[in-house]
Amino acid sequence: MSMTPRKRYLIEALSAMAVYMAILPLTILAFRHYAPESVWVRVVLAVLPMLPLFYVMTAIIRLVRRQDELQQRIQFEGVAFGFAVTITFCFTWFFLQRFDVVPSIDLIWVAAIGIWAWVIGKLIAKRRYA
Amino acid sequence: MKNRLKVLRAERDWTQQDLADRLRVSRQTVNAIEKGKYDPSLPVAFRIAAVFEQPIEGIFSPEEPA
Repeated sequence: MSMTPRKRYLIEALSAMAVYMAILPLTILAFRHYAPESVWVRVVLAVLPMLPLFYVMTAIIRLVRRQDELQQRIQFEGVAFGFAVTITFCFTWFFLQRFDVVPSIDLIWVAAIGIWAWVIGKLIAKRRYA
Repeated sequence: MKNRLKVLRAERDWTQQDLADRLRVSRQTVNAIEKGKYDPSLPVAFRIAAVFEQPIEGIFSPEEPA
């Protein structure tokens, strides 16, 4: 029996995440232990954990390409929802920050909100066609 | 769009997964089409017509105006 696109994606994404979880502590340890002065060494250490995440990104693209037309529509609606929520959050936070209401936050929070909004958007779209 | 997918499938004693495999789509897509929640593209509609050996208009019909 052939593997569904989702199953194949999960295998690809989970193996990449396992590699990420293995590399991340090593790069943090290396950075703390050796405290490299060279910018290039720091760039390599900082970006090294991104290699498996880059593979996850290509796995997402492969997943969408393997899916059928309804699944692709659900993905699109999820991404559209996630994008709209993230942009709205960014603008709202930007103005609140400019008016000294909220502090400056790390970009990683934008990524986290984007991912969660995408997942919620996909669930909403999935329910619509269920 | 209304369709007779469920009836035609039942006549052949196929599960949604059987039909999905024949159409090269997911079971969820067959379910959504049967429930009228999703109108398939023309290529999928032609595949449905070929699988059931009927013209497209024999399977799909426009929604009656309210």
